[in-house]
Amino acid sequence: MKASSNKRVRNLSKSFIREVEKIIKYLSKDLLTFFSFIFSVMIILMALLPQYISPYDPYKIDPYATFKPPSLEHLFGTDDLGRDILSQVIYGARTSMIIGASAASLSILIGTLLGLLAGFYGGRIDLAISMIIDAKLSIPTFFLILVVIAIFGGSMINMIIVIGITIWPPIARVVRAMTHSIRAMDFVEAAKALGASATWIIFRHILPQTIGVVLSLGILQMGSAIIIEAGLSFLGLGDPTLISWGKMLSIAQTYISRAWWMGFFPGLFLFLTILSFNILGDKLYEYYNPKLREKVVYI
Amino acid sequence: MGLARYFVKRILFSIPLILIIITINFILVHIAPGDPLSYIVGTEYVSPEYLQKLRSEYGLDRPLWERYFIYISKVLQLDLGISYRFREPVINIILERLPATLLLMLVSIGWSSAVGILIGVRAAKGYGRASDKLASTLASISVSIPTFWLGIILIIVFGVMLRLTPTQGMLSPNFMGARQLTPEMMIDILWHLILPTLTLGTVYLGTYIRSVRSLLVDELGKEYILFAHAKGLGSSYILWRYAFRAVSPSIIALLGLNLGTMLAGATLTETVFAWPGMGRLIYESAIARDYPVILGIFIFIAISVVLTNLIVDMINAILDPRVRY
Repeated sequence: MKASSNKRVRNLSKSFIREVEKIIKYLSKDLLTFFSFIFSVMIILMALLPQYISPYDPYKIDPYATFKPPSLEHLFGTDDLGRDILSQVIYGARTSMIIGASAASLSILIGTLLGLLAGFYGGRIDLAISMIIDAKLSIPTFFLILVVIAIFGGSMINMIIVIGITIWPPIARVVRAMTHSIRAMDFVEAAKALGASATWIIFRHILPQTIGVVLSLGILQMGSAIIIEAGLSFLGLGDPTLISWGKMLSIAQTYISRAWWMGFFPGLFLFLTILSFNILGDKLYEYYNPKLREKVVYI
Repeated sequence: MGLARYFVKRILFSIPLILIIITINFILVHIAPGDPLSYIVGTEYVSPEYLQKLRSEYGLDRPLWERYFIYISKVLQLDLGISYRFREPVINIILERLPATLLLMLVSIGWSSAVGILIGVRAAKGYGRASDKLASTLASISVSIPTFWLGIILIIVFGVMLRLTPTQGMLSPNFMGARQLTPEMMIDILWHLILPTLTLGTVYLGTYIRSVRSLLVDELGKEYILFAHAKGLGSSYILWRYAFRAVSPSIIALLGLNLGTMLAGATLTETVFAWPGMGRLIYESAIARDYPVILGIFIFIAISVVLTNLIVDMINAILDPRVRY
């Protein structure tokens, strides 16, 4: 018993590694995607280990080094208080990644669950969930989040919760459609005939097949969450205790004619991060939907 | 289904949406920390007598369900509360700022959808080839650029370095306080509009490229296109007169749907360029914690988006019989 379960774990981890290898190979096929992959890894490292990467303490004020343009000493220059911009950008990556990853995870959780329920049970449950999805699509997401954050305050945990429970509909939509078509397949019928319960079928047969697509959508949602956070911080609604790219841009606005580097670099990292996630998410989505890859066109 | 029945169905679908929006607002006001009244009149400069009067006017001394209906009727009468910063009804402030935002949005939608359609059609025509890949890359870049960063870059380049265009506001100081709209003034406004519309349009360009491309690629895979080729019709004739015409209702619907998300971009754009529209108003109100205005704008925008979608769908139904079914 023990030996066989060990073997199963080994087999599973082997097939997992093989899958990861295949994905990396697929992503390395074109240059832009490859760079997005490398950049994402870099941002994740910045977020995980800022204390080892950043050259200075991002909070350290130096009255003798205010508004220093980019130089070898300060690669991205310094701000109005003499703080090193590069170090702030590195610590800002942590804020963006924590909020992006947590909010995306929350939206995956809600979206997958509701999508599975709607797609599997159909009928009234489906109708109700689809109505919620349609309604959400008609309400401007950013404003809904903005209003809630303006009232309840923009602490990190508030932002994660509010963004997470607002951006799930696209995931629910896709999972619902997938569940719907998988449910009609023969092997599900067979499982039912063998007496499998609904929970078993959903979690053992349907959920595993949706994971790839959900993951790719999750990466795209991470990009949206990051830009929403940056937008809120830019509008002065973010967490005042955090270093955030949006907040840096908002401060930079005041000194725009004096120190272009204050806004240029944080915005560049924000842009490249979102671009990387968007490209990676799109590519992964394509990887899991082979039908999207090659279409017939009569022109 | 006839046109009339489609209209009725579509309108009936919009009513619950508007109720949902009002309900969300009602819930927010009531679960928010503090007195609900502070979200209607703000927090400062209110005498206790006036507060009491407002309390009964808004029915805050009544049970919750009664309050809910009072709130709905107030909103439907366009009574969105009073701004404590301006000491004026919220709806007046919004309507005052609306034209600037509409101008910015319409011009941005106009040029970005036109350019987006051209590039998207070109991409679909060269499906899988270099032009298609270039268009896709361009679209990815466009949808990933943070509005406010692009705005700041444009200000640095065109305003600070080249000193070509104005970067703040909507009018030059010498036109301030003018009573009538003169031709010189209109040119001045357009001059001020260049950078904001470039910013806002660029960010939405990618959405149009992507949707037009993918809609067209699907359409071009259909057999009637092959048949048209067999008949000997030219490629661009088929592309524009057959395929593009077939997908145009979806494109129109997309323009309507984009309105809501575009308003978010407009808020950030207006903040960067000090454009005196609704977006800028949101920013100022958020800083000043002027809750009545923030909530009022949210309701106003959300309902406008629902109504715009309704109108767009109706126009589509008139133009294209397929939509009605």
